[in-house]
Amino acid sequence: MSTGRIPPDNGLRARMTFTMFLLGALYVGVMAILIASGINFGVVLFIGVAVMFVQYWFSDRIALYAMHGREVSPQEAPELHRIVDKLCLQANMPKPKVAIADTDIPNAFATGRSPNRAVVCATSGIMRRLDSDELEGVLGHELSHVAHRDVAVMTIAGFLGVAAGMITRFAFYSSMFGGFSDEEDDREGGLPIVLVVMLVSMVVYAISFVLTRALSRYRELSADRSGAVLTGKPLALASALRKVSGDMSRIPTNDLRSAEAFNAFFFTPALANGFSLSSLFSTHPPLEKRLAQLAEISAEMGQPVSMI
Amino acid sequence: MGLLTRRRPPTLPDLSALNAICAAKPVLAAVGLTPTGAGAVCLKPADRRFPDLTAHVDVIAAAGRYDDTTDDFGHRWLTRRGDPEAFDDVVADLVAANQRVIDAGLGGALLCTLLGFTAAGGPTVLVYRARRGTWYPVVPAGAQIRDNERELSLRDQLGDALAIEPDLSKWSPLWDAPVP
Repeated sequence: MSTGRIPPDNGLRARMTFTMFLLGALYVGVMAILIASGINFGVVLFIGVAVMFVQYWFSDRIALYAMHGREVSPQEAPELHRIVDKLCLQANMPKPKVAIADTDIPNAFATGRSPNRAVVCATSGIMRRLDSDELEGVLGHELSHVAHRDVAVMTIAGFLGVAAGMITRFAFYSSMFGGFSDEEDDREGGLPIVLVVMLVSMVVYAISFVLTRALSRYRELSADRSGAVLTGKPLALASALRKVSGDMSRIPTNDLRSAEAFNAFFFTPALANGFSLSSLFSTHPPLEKRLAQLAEISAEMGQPVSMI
Repeated sequence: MGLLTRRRPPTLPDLSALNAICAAKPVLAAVGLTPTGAGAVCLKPADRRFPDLTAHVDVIAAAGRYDDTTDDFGHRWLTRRGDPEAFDDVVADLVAANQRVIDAGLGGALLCTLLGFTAAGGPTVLVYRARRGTWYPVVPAGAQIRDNERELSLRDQLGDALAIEPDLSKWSPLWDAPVP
């Protein structure tokens, strides 16, 4: 399931993907247990829809909470507000809330169920690393997400995947019940049925998870394009992307002494390098693809390449 | 199979590239890195993996040429502050301290070795990890901020003379270290 827009363009990508997958699996699993325990399917579906709706309705607050972001006033972050003001004026859209997350990880995200209830958040890490033009490029990209109502699109896409899993499970479960209910050991066989049901729904969920990622990657390219057109500075966004998703973003800022202790408990860092699963599951297209598209837009605009 | 068994022999710490930095002095000078004369060995906390660590390091520290400190992480530092001109002596002492820890069978307790430099862009640290046998640069640019651009350019400039850690995600900084 897609909880708002938290683009993991950094070393945390694999871990966040894994976490999101586990959260989704947990969600499906809970639903499976609810159904298996005999609660009416309609009730379970209602609960599922309700949870999805809450996620969508409060996407701005959930994302801010998850990223430890806090809303900032124009006095606290004049530069950030100035850029957002300017871009919103150009795009003729309402100004979203502006927030800062205090972390060294270079990242930015926008979320909210509609342009009227949107929030744009930048981390202190990205503000330290980027110059004004680059930051404008990144914010143009994020505001494009808001204008495209990407939160709604991705919530619906995520929900369709979960719904597919639920329907499979329901069909499977009722056929098991209908087909074998006259057998003597049916009541004792309750647990294995639950396990099989969960297994099948996990597979369905996994497939829809990958498809949702693919849709997300497409929407990232789309936001790059409209963000670049909005700011008129495709090369500044390209330069920013290179800084936050290239080599530089891979250099850690956390201390070696704490990193040593950290790695002993988490296995995902090992997963992050080498294995190509991350590109299959990642919500963002490869950097080269994004840079190529931006170079193309720049050429269309007739912009001199000397800008970066 | 060996993943879960505790008796898997640890990879032996490799000090060859630490020694090799003396030969790389001309290259360091060419990229504007001047030794401060300070260097330090950082040791992991003495826990049940290294029960004799404290006693052994006490002996090494008692040689008198090191400042013996313990930081907030519980890591112990043997810091050698020599003459900037006597870079080779400082490196030799750091290698000796590393070697004595390894000889005591405590190579796993070696976290890293640091050498301090001054440069036009500000202080620079070269970090050596014996376990990987590689160096990487750390250029502080403020409170917990690094100058990544400068670090990457140092990688490119020093790559031929020094074994530089290829995996950038291993380039963890050591904030508030005794060096530079």
